[in-house]
Amino acid sequence: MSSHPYYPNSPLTVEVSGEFACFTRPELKAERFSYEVMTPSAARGVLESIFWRPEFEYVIVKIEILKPIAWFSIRRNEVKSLASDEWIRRMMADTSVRYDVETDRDQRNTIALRDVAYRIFAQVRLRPQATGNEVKYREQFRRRVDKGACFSQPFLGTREFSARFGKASRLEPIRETRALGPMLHSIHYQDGKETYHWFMAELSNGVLEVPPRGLELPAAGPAGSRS
Amino acid sequence: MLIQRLVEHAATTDGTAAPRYHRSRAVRWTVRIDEHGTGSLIDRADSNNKAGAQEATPYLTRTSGIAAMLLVDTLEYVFGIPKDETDKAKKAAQRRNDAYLTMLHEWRDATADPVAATVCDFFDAKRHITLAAQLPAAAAASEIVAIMVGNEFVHRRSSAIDHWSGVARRRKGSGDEGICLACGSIGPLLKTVPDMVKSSLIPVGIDTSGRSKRGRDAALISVNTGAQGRGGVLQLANTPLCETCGSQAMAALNHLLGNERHRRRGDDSVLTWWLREPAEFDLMVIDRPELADVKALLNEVSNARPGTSVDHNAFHALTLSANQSRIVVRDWMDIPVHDIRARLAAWFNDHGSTDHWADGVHYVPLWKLVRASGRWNRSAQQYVPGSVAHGLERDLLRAALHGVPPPPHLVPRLLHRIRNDHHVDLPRVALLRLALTRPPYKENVMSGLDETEDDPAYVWGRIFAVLEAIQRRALPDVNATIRDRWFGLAMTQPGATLCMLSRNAIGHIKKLVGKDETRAAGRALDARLADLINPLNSKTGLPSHLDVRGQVRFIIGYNHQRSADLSAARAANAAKKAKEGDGSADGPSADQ
Repeated sequence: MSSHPYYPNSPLTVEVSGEFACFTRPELKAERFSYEVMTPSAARGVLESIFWRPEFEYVIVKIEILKPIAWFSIRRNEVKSLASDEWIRRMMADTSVRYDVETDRDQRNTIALRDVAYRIFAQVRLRPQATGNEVKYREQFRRRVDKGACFSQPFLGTREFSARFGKASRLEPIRETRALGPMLHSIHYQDGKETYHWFMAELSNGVLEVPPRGLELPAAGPAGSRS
Repeated sequence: MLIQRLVEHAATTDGTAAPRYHRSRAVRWTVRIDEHGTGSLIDRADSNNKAGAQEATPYLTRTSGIAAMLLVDTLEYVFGIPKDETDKAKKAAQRRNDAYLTMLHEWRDATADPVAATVCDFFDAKRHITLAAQLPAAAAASEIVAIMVGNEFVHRRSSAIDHWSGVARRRKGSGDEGICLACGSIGPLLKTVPDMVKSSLIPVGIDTSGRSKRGRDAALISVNTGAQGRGGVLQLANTPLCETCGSQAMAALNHLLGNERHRRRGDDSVLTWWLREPAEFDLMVIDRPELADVKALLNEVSNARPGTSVDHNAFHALTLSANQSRIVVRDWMDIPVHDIRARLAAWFNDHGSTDHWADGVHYVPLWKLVRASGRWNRSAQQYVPGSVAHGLERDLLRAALHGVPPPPHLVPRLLHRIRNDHHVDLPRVALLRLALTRPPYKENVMSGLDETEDDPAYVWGRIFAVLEAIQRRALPDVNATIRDRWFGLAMTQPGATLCMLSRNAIGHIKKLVGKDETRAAGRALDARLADLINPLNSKTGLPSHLDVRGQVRFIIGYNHQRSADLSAARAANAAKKAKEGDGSADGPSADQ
């Protein structure tokens, strides 16, 4: 993993906080267990929900953890299957098709984070099709954060845990240093498949330094769906 | 992270020694093949092991369908014994037996081991059918059978272990190679985790009669339905784990959960813990707090100065429960050993209290603290089984290990219990003291009698103990003491209760002072009562009502005074006996 190249501009900063957060570990997905801190892919999701253009992408540089790591547990009734385009088409074509949620129940436990706040530092990297310059997108992003405007409500790992966001405050990162192990860096999409990139995460005085890219792992197979 | 730590543990000397893709199971039967190829059936059950002795045997999780294990399997697979007498069961048993024999032949063809040929010849000659006829009618199709040639278990031979590893890789591997999430190196990746945690190792609750319910084998990493995985993808497609890490992690977890020194079972969850490097440390001190061990721990922590010692060892703890055939990770800890020592020391410091029955400060086992949240049965002189606060055990364990407060429902629940059954003992006082010393109260409460404490609620507790002592001395045979009658009222309304009890106390003291044999005691008790009441009256007097915090302090003050009085009485008794002993020893010599 190489370090970041030289960036001519200082990173964009945005502070996000929320009552709850769950950045699910890949090994414990069925009975969810969160990473200790926000993952870079979740941070990217927050930024993209505030401002997104196909002409550029965000490069997460670092994430500062502003509140102590605290946990809570919740057990909920969920369902086993996913809705698919094909299933919805079938329902529309045949009005007698019904979905009985009681036969599709799955009780799942979640160990998630409580009362979180992060400061995200990101750079803007232009894509080849970009027409404007970097400053244009940076200023648009900054204005949106100042106004509190977003394309969709940002969330902290899972959609039910929505996030507040705003300008960077003077809050100090927590004084905690520890190795967090392999962490999801980013997800890439190509030819209908997903590939995952990972990095060895380490919290140093409350700061998670994020490398520009992670190590690649094999692509997943096609998705299954409700039938 | 937790997979990594389990894999690391498997590599230590303290980890599991069983070969990969093996599990320790109770083997009921052994087929012993002698040098002439003749077989005999040995029943391995005895009075200690009714299901047979434990043995590390080839094992892979068998979720559905037919999947034979090499050499050691059930009676259904080895002998073709059906589960019942239906045609369907008989056909299924036949298919399973065919799969077992096919696996034996594959092993023989893949190795030059002559023992493999011996075993196959035995089964090819149908000699096992003769042995099957010797089985008792009560033998279940699920009982395990192993094969011996001479005096050696065949599944322990290196050729069998190697072949079985190959089978496991074919069954559980995804066929892809990639970077493993746990070890970070490139290797063959798993499709599913090769082993599960044994059903007996994770408690799943108790039934209405108080017995543990029976669980199922459970998987730590499992993505079996569309909504569990990312984008509906099943199995380990999004969780790249290599075969080595997957099998070692599960073997280590089974090993830890099976080891009584490394687990603590609750009603519906189990805590398992281990150190990165083996060291002198036993977490079970919270359940068996021997005074010497606790004092050593407290001294060690209080004497340690930051920066004076370097300890890189780490403490890991997992709290697991089961959701059908999935494991739920309820808590995961990965902290330095000196931190967990400090937290345990704080746990003991925060709850240690004096007891009526013995001198000094006592530390209470966690299970006794939990039990004390239940209802006290006065006639049976014990807590009513099954009446403990639900989930309190897990919450207290968490408070001990994480250094956090006990659950907020603890104090109101305990006060409610005490108000109704008037029972105050060491575990209850220890629980109340723990609640008071940790947030949100964070009060400095002594573990024993604090004569300098002038908090009205605490002093009122001491006064009540003295009033009870006066009554007990004046009326030794009284049926219902003032604690039995007025403790609930005293907890909440001290002013009114003191007015009422003071009038009675005057009568009791008058009675004591009126007799020669009790005059000294009556005057001493009167003086002690006055010493406690007068400073209060000179200030604000007793409050008319006590809030929750005040009620807790009242109970603690009552307990401290009672313990101190009984301790003083024991000391006086001992001194008297010693004096009498000296006198009797001098007597004969004087006569002589």
